[in-house]
Formats: sequence, C-alpha cells, structure tokens
Amino acid sequence: MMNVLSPQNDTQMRDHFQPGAFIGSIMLTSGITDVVNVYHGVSGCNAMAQHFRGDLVPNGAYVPVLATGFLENEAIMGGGAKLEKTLRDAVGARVKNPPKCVFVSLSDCPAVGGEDIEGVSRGVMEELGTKIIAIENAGFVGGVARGAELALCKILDEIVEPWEGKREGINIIAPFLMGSANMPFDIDHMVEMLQAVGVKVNLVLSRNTKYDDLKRFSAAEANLLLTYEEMTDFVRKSDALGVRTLTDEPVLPYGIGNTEEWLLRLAEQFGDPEKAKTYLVEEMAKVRKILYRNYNFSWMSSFVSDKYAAICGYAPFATAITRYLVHDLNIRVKVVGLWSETEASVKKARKILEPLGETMDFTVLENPTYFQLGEAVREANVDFVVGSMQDKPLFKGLGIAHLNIAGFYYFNNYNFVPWPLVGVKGSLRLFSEISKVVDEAFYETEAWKKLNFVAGAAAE
Amino acid sequence: MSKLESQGYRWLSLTEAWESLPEIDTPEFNELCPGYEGVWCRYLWTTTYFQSFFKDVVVVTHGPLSCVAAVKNFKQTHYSLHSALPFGHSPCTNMDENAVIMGGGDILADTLKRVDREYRPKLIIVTDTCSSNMINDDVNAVISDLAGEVTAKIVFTPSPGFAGIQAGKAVEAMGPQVASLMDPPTKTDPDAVNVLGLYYDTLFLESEGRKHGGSGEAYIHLIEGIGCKVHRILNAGNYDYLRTAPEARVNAIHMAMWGYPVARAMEENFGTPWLKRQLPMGLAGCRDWVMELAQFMGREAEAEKFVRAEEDKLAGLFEETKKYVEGKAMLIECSRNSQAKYGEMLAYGRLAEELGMKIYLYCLHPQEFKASHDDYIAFTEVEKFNPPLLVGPYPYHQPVNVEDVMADLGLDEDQCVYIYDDVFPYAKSGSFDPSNVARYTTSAQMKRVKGASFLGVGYSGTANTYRGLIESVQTAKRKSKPTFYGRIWSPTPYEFQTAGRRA
Repeated sequence: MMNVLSPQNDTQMRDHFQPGAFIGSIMLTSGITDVVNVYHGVSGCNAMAQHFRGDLVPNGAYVPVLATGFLENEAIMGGGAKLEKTLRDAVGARVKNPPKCVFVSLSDCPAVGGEDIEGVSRGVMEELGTKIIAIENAGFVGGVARGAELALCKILDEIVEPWEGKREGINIIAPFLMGSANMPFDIDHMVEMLQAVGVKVNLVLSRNTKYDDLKRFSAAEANLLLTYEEMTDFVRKSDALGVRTLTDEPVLPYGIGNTEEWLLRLAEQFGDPEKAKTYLVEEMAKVRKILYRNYNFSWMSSFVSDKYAAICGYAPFATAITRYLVHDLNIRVKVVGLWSETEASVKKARKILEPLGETMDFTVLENPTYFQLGEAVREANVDFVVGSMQDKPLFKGLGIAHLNIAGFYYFNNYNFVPWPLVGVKGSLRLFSEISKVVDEAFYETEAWKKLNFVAGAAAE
Repeated sequence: MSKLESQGYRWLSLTEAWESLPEIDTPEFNELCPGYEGVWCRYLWTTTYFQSFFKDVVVVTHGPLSCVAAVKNFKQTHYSLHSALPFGHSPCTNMDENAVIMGGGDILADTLKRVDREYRPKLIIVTDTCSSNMINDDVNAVISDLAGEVTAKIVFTPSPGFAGIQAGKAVEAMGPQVASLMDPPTKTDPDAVNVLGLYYDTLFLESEGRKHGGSGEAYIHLIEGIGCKVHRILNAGNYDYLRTAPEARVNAIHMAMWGYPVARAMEENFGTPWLKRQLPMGLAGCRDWVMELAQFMGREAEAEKFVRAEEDKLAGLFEETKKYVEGKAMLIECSRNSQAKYGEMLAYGRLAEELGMKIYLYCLHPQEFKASHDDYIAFTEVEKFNPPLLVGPYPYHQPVNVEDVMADLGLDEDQCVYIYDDVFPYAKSGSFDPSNVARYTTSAQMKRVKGASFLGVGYSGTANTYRGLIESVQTAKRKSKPTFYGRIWSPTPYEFQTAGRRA
C-alpha cells in the first residue's frame, strides 16, 4: 500500500533545497552558447547562480554571468546606473565575442525596490542594437521551475518566429529540472537515443543551443517537458505558436524498464517504433556483453536484491529511480520524499508511484521538511538513501549510507566520465552507483576496527 | 612598464594601501574598482555563522526559500562534507509575492510555532533577508506576540543581504548579536580561557573520532600548556555552551575578523577582558599568542618553559625549512575566500617572513581589505606586520594572473612559493605548475591534515606547514611531468609541446 503524507500542506513553511526563480532562468539561458547573462542584485544570490550555471559546462559551453556590483548603496539609491554600465560592458569592450543576446536577471532586493530593469535594458538595446531581454525573476517569485518558465516565455515572446511549414519532432524543455545530478550527460544521451529511433529533436531548451536556433522553436510538433511542474504560461504561449505540450509523457528513462517504456512511447508518437525495438535489442546486447556470466555482476545483483531504500529528490527523478530500484533491482523502497514547486508535480508523481503500492508498502512524503524526512527514514530503518549532496550530512549523520545522484551537477558528484545514467547504456553506471552505496552500507567497519588483530595482544 | 602597472596596479604596504583607499561603497571606490560585487551577503554570513550552534539551536529564515538554498548550497556541501559541522536544519517562512506585498508576519508566527513544536530546540534564531527587511516586517513584534505560546527562546538577528555585502561589515555587525545570546556570569573561573573567532570549524576532536584536526586541539594544547583551562571555543556546541561563555576570565582570539567583534561586545556587556593576538602560526606567532595570554594570567614562567620546550622540538624543522625557502618570495593569492578571512593568508605570510621569505599579497580586493578593519588592526597595529599588497582595479572582481605578478616582481619559477585560498588556483603546465613552481594548499576548504589543525594554528599546525613548504619546494624541483590539473589549464598540455621552451 502507498501511504501519502503531505505534512506541509497546511503551512507555507518549508525546509528543503529549492533555489529561486533567477537560478532557473540563468540555468535555462546558460545552455544558449552565444549569449551572456547579466545579474542585477546582491552577491549572495549571485554566488548560487554562478555555481549552478556551471552544470552546463561539461561537454557544453561557458556562458558568463556578469554581475552589476549591486551594493548597499544601490539598495538605497537604486542601481539603474550600474545595470546600464554593465549592459554596455557586456555587449561592448569587455567581451571578446559580442553576444547575440543578453538576458538580465535580478534578485529580491532590486525587485522589492522597484528597479526598472526592463526600461534600462530597452534603453541600452535601442542605443546599441544588441538584443537585451530582462526577466523579472526574483527569488520570491518562485523556484527554479518558475524561473525557467519565465525565461521560456520571454524566449517565445521575443525570439521565436512563427512557422508555416510542416511541424516535425519535439522540443525538449528544461533538462536541468529532471533532478538528476548527472544531467549534462543524461540529456545528451536522451537526445542520442531519440535520434537513433527516428525522433527528430528540433531543439533542446537548452543544451548547447545557438541563439539563432531558438527561432525555430515553432517548427516542432510538440514539447517534451522534463519536469512535472505546471507551466501554464509557457504551455499557453507555445499552443499559440502551434506547438502542443505533451501531458502524458512517460517516466524518465532511468533503468531498463523505464527506458523501454519511454523510448517506445516517444518513438510511436514521433519516430519509428520498429527502429526503437531494434535499437533497444542492440543496446541490450552491448550491456549483456559486459554483464552476462560476469561473477561480480551476479554477486552484486543478488546482494542488492531485497534490500531497503529511501529516495528523495525532485519529483521526476525520484519517481523514476523509485521504479528503477523496485522493478529492475528488486529493492524495497520504504520512503520517497518528493520536492516540487506546484501541486501538479506531486499529483503526477503520486499517480506514477501508486501502482507500486499493489505489491509493496511504502510512504510518500510530499515536500517534507528535512527533519520530517529524516525521522521517516530513521523509522523505516532502511539500508541506504538515494538523494543529493545537500542531504548527505543528514542521512550519514543518522548512520545511513547515502548515494548522491539527485539534484544538480554542481557539488553533487565527482563524476567526470561522460557516461549517462539514463538509457540501456546508462543502466551500467546506474547499477555501478547503486552497487557502491549498497557495498558501503554493509561494510562492518566499526567491527573491523574493534576486532582487528593487535600484535602482542595474546601476551597481554 | 609591467603589464600590471599599465593596468593600474601598484604595490603598497598595508598601511599605505589603507590610507590611500576611499571609504567602501562610495562612487570613488566604484570608479577605482568597477563592478565589485562581493562574494556573499550579510544573510549568508549570518545564517551560516549561527548554524555553528547546532545541538539544540535552529536558525529560522524569514524570506524566500531561495535564500535558504543559498545557505544549504554551502553549509550542506563543503562546510559539512570535509569538516565536522553537521547537517543544519533550516526551516524557512518561504516568502512569496503575496507575502512581499501583504507582509509576512503571519507566516513567520506560524513557522516559529511549528519549529518550536516539531524540532523542540532550546533556542530559535530568526534571520531576515532582503525581502522581509525591505518591506519592514516587524520580526520583533511577531516574537513578542508569541510569548507564552512557544517554549524555546527566540531571538532576532537582523541580516538583510544587502546590508554589508563586504564580509567585514557583516561580521562586524554580528558581534553584539552573539554576545546578546549570552547570560551575565554568576561566577568567573580564574583559570578559564575562551577562544573566540572560529569560522568554518567547530570543536570536535580527533580523540572523539574526527578524521582531520580542526583548531580545537591546538588551542587546548597552548592553553593547558601554561596551566590554564579551556572554557569555550566558539562558535560550537549548544545553547548552554554559548550562554555560559562569560564565565571565563579572559577571551583569547583565533581570528580577528570573527573574534574581535564578539570580544568587544562581551567586554561591553559583561566586562570580560580580551587579548588581541590572533592566529598562532609560526614559532613567533605561537610565542606571541601564548605570552600575551600568560602575562594576563600571571603565568609567564610556565609559559616561557612551555614555549621553549615546543620551540626546541621544532628547531630542527624550522632550520631545515629555512634552507629550503632561502631566497624565495611567498606569493599569497587572496581569492574569493579571503573575503571571509584574509587574516589566515596574512598569518601564513607572517610565518613565511619568520623563515626569511619576502611576502607579496595580491588579489585581495581593495573593498574587502578596507571593509575588514579588525584584520587590519590585528596585523598592522598589534603585530606591526606590514607587507606589500597589490592595489588596483580588479574589474568585475577578476583576479590578476600570478605569472604577471612574477613578471612584475622580476621573479623566476625557483624564487617563488605560491599559496592560494580557494578553488581555481592558477596552473598552466609548461610554465606554472606544482612540478616547477612550489605551490602549497592553505585554503580552509582544501587543506586537511591528520594530527594537526587544518588551518595551521598551534605548534602541530606550524610543524605541518613547515613540512608542507619543504615538500612543495622539493616537488617543484622535478621540472617535468606536470600535474593533470596544470595540463588541463594549459594550451600545451604535453611535455613534447614545451620541450623547446624549457630548453
């Protein structure tokens, strides 16, 4: 049975890891390789933006975030002059290759102070001719998903051009909202898989995307959102451009079971299902080449079976990994902590997880505080937790083994091997990661320390 | 004219630099250093600082969830991962647009009641943010209205992000807030000493299971070595540990920037005297710190004996290190982390000067330098340490290149030891790499040593630094096989590409 708890439903109080809207906007625009971000606000927020922007760097590009130097004086007197100067620097002398476009983000302080970032941006744009797009994306406006949506809406309003021809393929929207710490390599392989089965990927918004490519957004048949969050403004604007948004998209392709479902469903709608089946068989043959009759694989896949786990993460990733552990590895997931910004996200996750309740008892906590989640995990007495670096000290502090593959790439892992967690191919790495944490969970290090051989102990 | 000179950089002693620089956050400073943005904000400094009290203290944020994410982004990652600081629960009122317009008093009251009921802490510290501060939410009134409804003591420590973006200003403002959490002493222990000013560290000893030492052991060794006893090492522990701090006879200082403001406020509130020496690193640094304490406690004889014994133990290593670094300059790169504590980097400089090295400090942003008055006082007035600092525009907070610094000073690869304090140390195989220029890791985040303070304080920390310097100089004699990191940053990563240049 699936037991759903929403302990924070009757309160606005939260205690989980959710960066604000400006982070979502900057992460989205940082995947557009020939633009520059200008950040107008206090440096504490900027530090976070600078760090997460780096998620797009592996096999991607470095898109600068230029801060305007907003200090206490600007909080009192207004920072328009500094914004204007920075915009001039961003499109002029300080940049080796002038950007095709500048996106302006702002933090809470100038937003509450009523800074006219739109007006300043318009003024500089009219004078210098470079496209400048200001986004009202302060932290209090919402989380990363809302920030991504605000940037998407601006792109649709100000860059995308109408399409009169035949619409083909899909746009993949906001890969960083999947909630995978391996996002840069996962999105790249998702595109590879889709292309291999005849699905045209019109645009990834965004990952190694060129500014001029944005204009052909409307050439796609549909959008595949990589989040469960509700994005009504984006969906409405996209509909107006003739690009519908999928609402029954399959669970993210983590593990073989999820991948089979994901790829066949998308191939049936946008590609060649027969090609997809052949591709899946070929991919599995490559995986079997490594694992079939492999003693270590047999040992570890038997060892992980029937163990107890907990998951916490953003809804799409957490639901996919839960299904992977249960279906592919025969692990009993006892607690699932879901983070989300909108009710739609937890609702969708609940619907996906519900069938698991027919064969397993587990608890789903929707937007719990870390305290509530920690208590639930402690009570469930699980062997390991799959989460992110931000919750590692919590669970390790409770004495529970922890694997951080959820969340963002930044500071979440030291994986420099460009290998995905998604897909059939990715199941090799996913299983390797799970093997490591299960291995760790069962090392009896305290006993080894205490029972270790001591030279001369017999004499004492 | 050197490249740096042509870009408007010049070497000034700390005192000359201080005198020549304008007041922070003024148009003159903006002109001198365009695009200075700071690194963190007052909210981040304050919240991470108060999360050092963890056992029964919860810090509640009145603001958007994003502000808490910024804290967790550091606190739960490198502050905790390779340090002894545990997970910090960070409940938040999750201010949204509605609360920004209508006020967030209700959600704050609800959050405080929930935290009191569910987390059951002894003390709740409320920090505010840009949003809640700018709309003038009356946090104190909310706290006052909750009297009788909550069990925990609740205090408000104002911390809007924009007020004091330069860390020095933010930290200075925290001193009275920390002292206000303490109780007036009912008794004073004549032998007891506090150590104030730890940041990015806490009191947890290797004997308790810590893998790599913090600064706790070092201070216990120095204080007990002269027959006194350690009362509190702050920030650490629980509410009772903090509130009883004024029962010590005297406050000693770990780091001026983080210690002086609290010491000053404790003196004002409770009359607790305090000593001004900080960061006991190097033989002279340890001696001066210990003797200042000993003079106050009337234990000069014990202290002299203790210090001599420790110096004797290190004499051989000291002389050996001197030989290795003879004729070399220490190039101290103060990157972003220096905003939190450039004193540490200067203390390494002080240690190096005692070894006969020349000291050059660069990439310490002039606004950060000018914003931290306590560090300035501690080095220039208390210690009379006044090395040259590279002052200049640092546009948009961009660092200068150490190879440009070397060219400016006319130094070659064998005449330098390079130290740095954060990620992205400079390296470029073929010209500048640990395999050909001595590079030593001193950053609080990266330096981890078994059996010695990772910050390098005390005699064991000093010994470790000496050994580290020797090893770095030895490594730089290799002149081949550059590091992976250096090759990644270099346009010529293979030795065959640079063979001609080196020949």
